[in-house]
Amino acid sequence: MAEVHIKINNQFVTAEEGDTILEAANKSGIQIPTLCYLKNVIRSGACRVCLVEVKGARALLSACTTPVSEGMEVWTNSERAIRGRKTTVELIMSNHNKNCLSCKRNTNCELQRLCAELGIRQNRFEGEHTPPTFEDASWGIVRDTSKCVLCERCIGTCQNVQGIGILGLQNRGFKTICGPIYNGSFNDVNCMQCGQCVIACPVGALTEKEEIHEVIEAINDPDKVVICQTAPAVRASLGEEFGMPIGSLVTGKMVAALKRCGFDRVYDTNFGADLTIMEEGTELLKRVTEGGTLPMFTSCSPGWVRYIEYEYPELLPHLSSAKSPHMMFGAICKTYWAEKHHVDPSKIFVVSIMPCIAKKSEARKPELHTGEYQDVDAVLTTREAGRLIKMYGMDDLDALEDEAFDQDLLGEYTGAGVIFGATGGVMEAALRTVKQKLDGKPLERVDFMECRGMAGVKEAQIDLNGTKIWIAITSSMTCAKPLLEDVRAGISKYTFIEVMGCPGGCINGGGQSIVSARKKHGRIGYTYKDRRMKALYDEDRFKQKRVSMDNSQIQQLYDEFLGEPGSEIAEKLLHTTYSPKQKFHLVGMEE
Amino acid sequence: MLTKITDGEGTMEMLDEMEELCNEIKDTALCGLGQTAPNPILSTLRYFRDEYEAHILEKRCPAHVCKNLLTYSINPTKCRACSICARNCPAEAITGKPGKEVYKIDSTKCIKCGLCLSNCRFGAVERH
Repeated sequence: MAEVHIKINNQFVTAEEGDTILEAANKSGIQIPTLCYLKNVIRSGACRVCLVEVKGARALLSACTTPVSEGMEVWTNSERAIRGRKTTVELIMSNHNKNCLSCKRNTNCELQRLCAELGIRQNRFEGEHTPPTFEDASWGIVRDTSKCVLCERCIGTCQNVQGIGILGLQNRGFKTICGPIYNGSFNDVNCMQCGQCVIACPVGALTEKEEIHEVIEAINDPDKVVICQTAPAVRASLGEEFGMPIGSLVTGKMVAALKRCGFDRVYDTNFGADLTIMEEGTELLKRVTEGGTLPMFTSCSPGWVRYIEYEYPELLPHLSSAKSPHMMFGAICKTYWAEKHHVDPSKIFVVSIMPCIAKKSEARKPELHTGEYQDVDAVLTTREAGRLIKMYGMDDLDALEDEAFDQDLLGEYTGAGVIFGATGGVMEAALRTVKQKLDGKPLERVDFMECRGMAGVKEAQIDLNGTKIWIAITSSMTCAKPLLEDVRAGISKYTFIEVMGCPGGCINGGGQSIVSARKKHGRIGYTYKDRRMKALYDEDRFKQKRVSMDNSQIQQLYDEFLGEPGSEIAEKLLHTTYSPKQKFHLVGMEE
Repeated sequence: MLTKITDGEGTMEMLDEMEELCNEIKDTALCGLGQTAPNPILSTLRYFRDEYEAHILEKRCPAHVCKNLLTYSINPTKCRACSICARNCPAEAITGKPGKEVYKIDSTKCIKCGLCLSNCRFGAVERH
């Protein structure tokens, strides 16, 4: 790449040919505020917040779309640039509902922050508003266009990260609105409910559907036994909701806070993860030895399951029939746990704290009910858990003393469960158990480094007792698509494929704490996924037991209740079926 | 802002604010349309500033276009009491006696539709 020499704010900067002004500025530590720009996702220049003054240009130019050229002179904070930026934000504000006090993104909103930084003190342009749409028909995502700033970040994410593209701009001019086709609901289209659009939204236009009030009602109900389970990835992100650095591991503090919220039991979904490994690992071995449908896909990510049901229904037999860890945990709570503690299963209320939005609709999926009960009654995202804890008066998580998870029956977990939260974790956990089972002796090497890292597609050849198998790990649907096409064409060399719906796995799930675009572009935030991932691998490293099958409570569960993995009762409680889904349910097409 | 001025609710500060906003939009807009759309306002501000000022200060529309700033009245010297204006008035704002008494417009009832003006054969209806 050729070097380009430019001057930004009278400072000499060397950039690469093809860089935008924004990229060149960021590389040399000069910050330019942005709103619609998301690195590697979208660069539309629509919001006009990153305007800079360029010598010789007639108007102000957007830094995120203008490429640098030799000898260019740029001023990012001249009077003209700042005035232009300020007017732009004031105009965006004029068509915004400004209900900041009751907004879920209050204190974490990028528009709010811009207004504060630019010193906007009045609504100068109070005028007409675009007719808004409020839509909350789906279980996961709420859309409120009265807050939308039309930055197109959600559109870019859905299109370029997940390769689905259900979101788009509709109507023209002042009436432009962002949403699924015909301004409809996320239920009417092939939305996988991953929630990546929610964490891409700079404002409160796309948010999760809150279930906090149902949970509080259950906690306050003396008849109900409220059992809380926390997903592995939550502990690596919850701290951010309380202002702690990205990647802080807050397992003990989280347990302490949740216990103070009044949950009767606080368990770890990792127990469910260990159980999943036992079931899924057994299923894999069975498919390999008895000649089942291969390659087998993991089924832990409900977003991914929704995707395959919509987009590749003919590949459904490849999907493992194992339920996801939190659903398994819920099913065991309402059967084995209830029996042991002599509690009526109808009085048990299971709350899952998840990094995920798709889990909300997964919990309601009829195929996943055990008998007459819903396995999991409410799903809270990491952000909602943070709000719940704050509502109970604990706004400083760091000040709490660490506490341990409840230990009765379902309390133990291994390091293999913890790493479920990162891409490659499920694969690594499964390999540990499968290899140990086949070898018949404890593993010499527990770490499967080939499974780790942030690459979109990872592959490796694993030696299982003499047989060599190819495995692949992928996350986000754009990365998964080529693998799926190979499987469809029958030319896939893999035996086992781990797929996670969100890029990077659960640590970057749609329910996680929101990292602002500015942090993502900055030097520290650029590695936010790696930092959260490191937190999980750290917890795994210091665990004594790191292979799911070593979990003594899992062994006890099989001895006393389930028999063996894949037994009839295990099939009934821990496995599920899938059904193809129709892509569109458009009004007028239903008969 | 423009609507407020044409309704007679404008202030002189609005002119400066409008000029500033137009210049900002020209400077910051993404597309050619956005960069040129404010031009009509800027050029009218430059060449017809007196008309803007008449709207704001005198609450008067020199071009007789802004409805809210118009008043209709009947010149008694020209009126022949033919009653055609009263019969055409949709708001029943015009009173008088046919052939005997000149007609008058009640400005509180008048909706400024202009029908009396277009129907009067003697040019007695005046618009200010």
